[in-house]
Amino acid sequence: MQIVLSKNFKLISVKPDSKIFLIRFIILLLLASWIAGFLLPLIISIENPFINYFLKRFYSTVCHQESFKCISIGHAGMLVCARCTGIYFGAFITSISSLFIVVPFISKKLLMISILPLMMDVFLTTSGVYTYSQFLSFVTGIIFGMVIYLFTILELEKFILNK
Amino acid sequence: MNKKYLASLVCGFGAAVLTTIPGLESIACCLLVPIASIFTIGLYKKSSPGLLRIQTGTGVILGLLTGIFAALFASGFEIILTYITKSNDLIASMPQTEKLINGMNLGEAAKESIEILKQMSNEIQTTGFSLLYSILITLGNFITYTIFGMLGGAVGTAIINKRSSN
Repeated sequence: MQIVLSKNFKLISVKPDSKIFLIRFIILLLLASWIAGFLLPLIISIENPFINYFLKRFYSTVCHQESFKCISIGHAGMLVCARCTGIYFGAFITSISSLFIVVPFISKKLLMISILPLMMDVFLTTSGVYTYSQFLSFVTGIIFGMVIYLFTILELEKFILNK
Repeated sequence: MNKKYLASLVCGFGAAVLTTIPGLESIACCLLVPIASIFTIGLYKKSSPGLLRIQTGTGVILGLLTGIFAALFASGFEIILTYITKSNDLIASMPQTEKLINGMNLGEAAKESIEILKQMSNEIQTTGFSLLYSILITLGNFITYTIFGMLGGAVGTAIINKRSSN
């Protein structure tokens, strides 16, 4: 069944079957381990400098890790910036909900719209129109993370199930 | 050369070059390699005029190849730069790490790990090369870039196919 809400937003496949559920669950676990990795300094205090250095180095390949852009609690800070955290959290929230609810079909146009706030935030902070805000970066990241997960998951399922 | 490899090689190399530009990393963040994968698929599609639709599997493989090439070149650049300058972020962070550790009451394992870090740092400062450091950064680059490359490949396939169907 397909419910068309607008040209860019359709709801498809109401209930995920067992194979799709399994794929989504594995992706959820992988995403959770990735998030746990960059949250590790907040969860436990790593007293091993070698692990500490290489864990930070590992996430530095996917994020600039500028200290004032990373969310920190007390003395411990996350290993990725607020924007990246938002993207991963957005994808994580959606991956949990995708196990139980309808997965909407995301058009290319909607994907472009979702990246727009993020790009605007990058452009306006870089050009100095307003000062960098962790909250704003996190929120724009969440929006993009949610949409990119939905956009990617259907393609990945098609690939894994050889459809 | 196979079109798949050529497109991945070009975009992987481009992504690796861009990772070395400090200012750009703060803007592109985690999107650099996925964007490179999308470009790879675009390039592959352009070089195959008869191809109407790209399979998701092909897109993911193209993304994977882009990630592998990006990791290979990025690691290579870092090793070469470290060899030339005899310095890198490990050397830069060592005084701060030592200062932090002196104020802590660490166990035996932590003391051993500090020794390994010091040894790597000494090797880099004297010869410009540390095998352990090179292996660890290459491994890290391979893991992250291939994952993000494959994700970019899946997204890129959907984008390019939707553009073709429009």
